[in-house]
Amino acid sequence: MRDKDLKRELQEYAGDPDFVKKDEFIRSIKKNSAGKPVNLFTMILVHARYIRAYIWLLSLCILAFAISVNDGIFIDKIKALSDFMPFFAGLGIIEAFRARVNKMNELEKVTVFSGKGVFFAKATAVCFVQFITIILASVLLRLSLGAGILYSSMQILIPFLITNILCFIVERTSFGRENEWSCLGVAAAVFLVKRITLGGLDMFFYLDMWVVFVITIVLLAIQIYEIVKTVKLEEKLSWN
Amino acid sequence: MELTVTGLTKQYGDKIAVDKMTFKLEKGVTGLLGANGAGKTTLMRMMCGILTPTEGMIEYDGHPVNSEEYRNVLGYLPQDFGYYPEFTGMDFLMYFCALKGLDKKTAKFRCKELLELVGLEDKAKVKVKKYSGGMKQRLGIAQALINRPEVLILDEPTAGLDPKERVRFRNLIEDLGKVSVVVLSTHIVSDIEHIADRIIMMKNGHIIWQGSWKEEDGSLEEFYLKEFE
Repeated sequence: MRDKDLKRELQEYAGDPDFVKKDEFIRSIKKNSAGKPVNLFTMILVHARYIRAYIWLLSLCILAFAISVNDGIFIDKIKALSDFMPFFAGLGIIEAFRARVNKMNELEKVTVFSGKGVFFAKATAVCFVQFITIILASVLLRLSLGAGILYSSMQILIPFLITNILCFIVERTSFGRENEWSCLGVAAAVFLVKRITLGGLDMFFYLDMWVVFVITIVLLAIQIYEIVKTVKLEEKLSWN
Repeated sequence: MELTVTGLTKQYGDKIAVDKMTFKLEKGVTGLLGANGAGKTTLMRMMCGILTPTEGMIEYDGHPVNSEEYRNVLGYLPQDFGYYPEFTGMDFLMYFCALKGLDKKTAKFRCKELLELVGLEDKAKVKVKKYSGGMKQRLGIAQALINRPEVLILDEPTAGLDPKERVRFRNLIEDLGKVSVVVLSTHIVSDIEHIADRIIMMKNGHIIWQGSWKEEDGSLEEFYLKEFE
């Protein structure tokens, strides 16, 4: 006999259980078999599971492009990836702030984590996926082109970080909060500025390696600061 | 089960949305009655820990409102909520089960049980964007019940429900009031007149009356309209 049939027959013969007694019974079981506490790592994994498919797909495309056969000058391939990074970053930020756009943030705040915790877990999950993609892409570029990992990762990371930082700042303004696609505007602006200022050349034409390295570290620090600042302001931004 | 609110105040710039509120709630249904802008939603958001009070304190059985212990026993239905467009009814509930720390097996069972409770079992695999307003509201109520809350906070829960659904919902709230602290806000007297064990009437961020209407003579509606004239 299937569970469904068994349930129906039980209902027919015994009727529905008393609501209060049923609830008391279930609560007593729940207390006796309390589950594992949910930690930040588990929450990041939960949010990673719900990252939309297109972010994963974009990551795969970037990796596929990085490993693909090179039929031109290798610098062109790195520059193409570097040009795409503002859009990759902008879409990631849209994903991280998705709950606010879809009016899910108020519901998400009443779960095992506080509002700040939920946002932090979600932003971390998205950032983690994107950072891993960038690091893997740099390794694959090394394999397919023989490009230095530090050289290519900095070329890719700098436009990504600049866009991320600007998007966080824009998302804290009322314009950013009211316009779902404002991050793509930021991405387009970063892309254009990069094309205009650098033209067909890469940043190492103008700057020494160690200067670019310092810039990358500073941008990483600002990125962390922006995440922390946004998380701290989460409540204020939601209601004002 | 005791929810204590002491000297609770919330100020936005010069505007005081909730002003030095003090009350104690026990198991049963409490109706928060007040016109739009009375401060009901602000009060409820503070009671859920998603809005920090300017002053005052909220505690549940000794646990502060921002503790994990409190959030584990809290259920909340906001006045206005959305959904991710790709979610079906089942996905929506499963997502909140994951955020509330339920394991997959328990979550699946609980979601089926809740969809049945709110009459959406045959719409479990339909996208939420195709639901009617009443169906979305019922899904929201199911979401609030996922963790079998000891404290259930419902902000204007009957909005969008048709008369038949309203009656069904009132019966459900009455049952839930037997096992939890239920706080329900509304500006419609008939929503709470017969089911609330206690009523808190609010105006401009203040409590203007609180108690059990069951002990009073006369019509609650008339009293309410007189107070808001």
